[in-house]
Amino acid sequence: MLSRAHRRPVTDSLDDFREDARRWIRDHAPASLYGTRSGRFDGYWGGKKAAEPAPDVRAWLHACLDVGWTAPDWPTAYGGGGLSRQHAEVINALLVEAQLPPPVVGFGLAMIGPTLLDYGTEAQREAHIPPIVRGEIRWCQGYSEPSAGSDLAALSTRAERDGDTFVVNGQKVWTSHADRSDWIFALVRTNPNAPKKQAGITFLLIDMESEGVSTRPIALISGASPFCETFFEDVRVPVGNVVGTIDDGWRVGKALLGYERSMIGSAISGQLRAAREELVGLARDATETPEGPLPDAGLRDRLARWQIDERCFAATLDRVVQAMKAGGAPGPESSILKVAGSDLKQTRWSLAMELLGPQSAGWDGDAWTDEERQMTRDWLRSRANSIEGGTSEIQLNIMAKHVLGLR
Amino acid sequence: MNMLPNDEEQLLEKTIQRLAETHAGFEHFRARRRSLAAGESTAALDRALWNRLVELGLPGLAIAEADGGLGLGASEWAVAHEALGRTLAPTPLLSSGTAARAIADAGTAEQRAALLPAIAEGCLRATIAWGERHHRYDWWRCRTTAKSAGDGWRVTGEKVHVADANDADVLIVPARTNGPESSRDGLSLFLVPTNVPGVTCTAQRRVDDRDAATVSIDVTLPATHAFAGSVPIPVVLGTIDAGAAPLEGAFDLAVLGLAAEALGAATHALDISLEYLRGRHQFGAPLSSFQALQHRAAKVFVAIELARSMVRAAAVSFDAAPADETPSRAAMVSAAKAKASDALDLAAREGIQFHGGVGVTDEYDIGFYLKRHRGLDTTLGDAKWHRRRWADAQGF
Repeated sequence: MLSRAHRRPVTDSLDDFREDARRWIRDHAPASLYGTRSGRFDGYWGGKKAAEPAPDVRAWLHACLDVGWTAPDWPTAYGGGGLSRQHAEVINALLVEAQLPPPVVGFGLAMIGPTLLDYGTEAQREAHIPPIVRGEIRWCQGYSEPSAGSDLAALSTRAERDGDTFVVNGQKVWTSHADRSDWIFALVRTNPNAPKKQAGITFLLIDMESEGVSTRPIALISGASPFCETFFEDVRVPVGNVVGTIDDGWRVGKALLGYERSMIGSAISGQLRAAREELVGLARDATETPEGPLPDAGLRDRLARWQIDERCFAATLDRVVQAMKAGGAPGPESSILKVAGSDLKQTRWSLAMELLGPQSAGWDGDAWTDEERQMTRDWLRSRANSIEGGTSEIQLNIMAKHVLGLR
Repeated sequence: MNMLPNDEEQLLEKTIQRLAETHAGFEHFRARRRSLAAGESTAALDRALWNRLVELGLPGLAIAEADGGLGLGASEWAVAHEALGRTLAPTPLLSSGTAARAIADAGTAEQRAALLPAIAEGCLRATIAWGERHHRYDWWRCRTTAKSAGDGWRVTGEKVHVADANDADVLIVPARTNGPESSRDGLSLFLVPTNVPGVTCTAQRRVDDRDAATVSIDVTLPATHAFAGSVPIPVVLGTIDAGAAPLEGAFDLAVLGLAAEALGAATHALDISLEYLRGRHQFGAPLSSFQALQHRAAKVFVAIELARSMVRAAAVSFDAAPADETPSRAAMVSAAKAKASDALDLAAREGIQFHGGVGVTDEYDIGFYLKRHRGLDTTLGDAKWHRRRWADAQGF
């Protein structure tokens, strides 16, 4: 009953839908994908440069495509499932329950897709949404620049009008997966003389295959990372690739940042949930207490504090999601999730390092297990959680100004 | 789990907030303090405020309809205490409702019929005597004893920090009838009238101005007693030696109520701080324009909102059947109190700092929130005790 050929308006109750969906998943999800959601494999990113996916990953993608489940609540006209947000959440909850990865992941689904649905022209939606839905095109984000991080509006990558194209020159930084992406959505400066710097910015879609686009990976304190620098040298971009209107891109760019904050919030919640038991496991190893109460009262208190804070975070995520269902786009409350989530992640890794003790100080080689080396890297990487996607200080600014009325 | 209050809950919240603002605002609170300090009044109970709550049926909020109450649940209980917590309204609503829960869970049909409707109507005042000096928060480690005396019972011991005891008609007293001091088995619950010789309530003068007493008990109770003109009922609440289990539900309900009260108090402490920051000018600018203060206020806001989510989750799951992913009721309310109490502590300390010099004056209200935190945190388990209870429940 969920096949594309027989797709009909969903009039069943959510409970009936849940049962049908559960049955469908049981019938179509490959056995090898169960339990893989919280691990290193978070889903298939797709795109033209992607390696051939494992047969089970491909099978899962195609099964979900058949019923519009790569983007359950997007319009069917573009290949989405045409379902409501609530239905999409039911599906997501079932996948999480089974620890199954989504069939396709990426910034197309999480950020530029919803933004194009809100702000794009029909031509742009028809051109870009279906390949996102099918996992054929992979997107990256061109926002930050070396001189424009928190002060994003100070960006200076220039787009000069030449007939019916823009000529783009400049540099973006922190572009995740740019070297593996097919397209980039970028904020560019179209008017350097605007009275306010926000007023001269345009939201532009650029094909990464265009002549003049190049990338260079960035190494982090935690080792290799997906981050890149992206360079634009006389890159020609059709004017039709402007989302919204020329010089009015800041508005579109800010709206997308709300989607980014939600994306980061939800991605974190799964990792934090897994950490509930992982931290206890590390504590048991560290104190050689395979069962029963841990012998160190201080450690019990710190673990309890972390676990309680994580529950508060999960409950707050529920509140925010339910409030969004009632009222639309993510609001400033998503700043709470960003700050609290990054705090939790950082504390989680600090605790883990403390529990590993001397084995936390490794980098390479046989003195350390794979798991220990990875944990040290994860700890280092977690320092960036309070910086990327809008620093905690920016989030506090947003809350102070827009929620608390302090200015 | 439904994390958003429904229409009825929102209406209840608005109604109680309006009531608290009108009848339990700070001018009212200060007037009582002045008259208590001047010896003009010894009234423990703020009768005018209590009568307003009685008019709304609130003493019966969590009492079943069949027992004369409103039959509402943990969510409404939390909403009511949060609303009253905003202005630190001094009412015995929490201790009364907690006692009612103990009677509902432990009592015989006859005991429930004799006591609960009268409590719901606000004309019988009851409270549980949880604390003893030596046991901190482990209420089951009783040294108060009860020994058989003819048909009746000789109850001996001292209970401390008994909330709202000074105006209570009946105390629910846990006493040991069997077993070692630390055991939950062998505890019995006694309905002890306060108007008999041998039961002496000595009022405490507390930093948070709440009503509480040290109660010394050396009384021989007859087998039955008539409370508030009802038929005589057995003074042993429920079954001998089996008093601890039914008290767990009342304990958790009280802990949830305190968590909600802390949440309401923290919220209002932040609200008055924000108002101060916006209005106070120094160096030619409002304090609200200084980033250091903006960030500190935002951090208080985050702590409060995280606590709000936990209080809500604990309330919503309180009466639900246990589910796989949801921790036990005890764990949830403990998490809520620990987090909400810490949020109140932060909001109060930061709030005083935001106010500068006037923050440490008696004239300004912000100091009362710090004082209330002291009392609230040390009632029925402080934040650390509750985190340990979480760890126990989660098995580590």
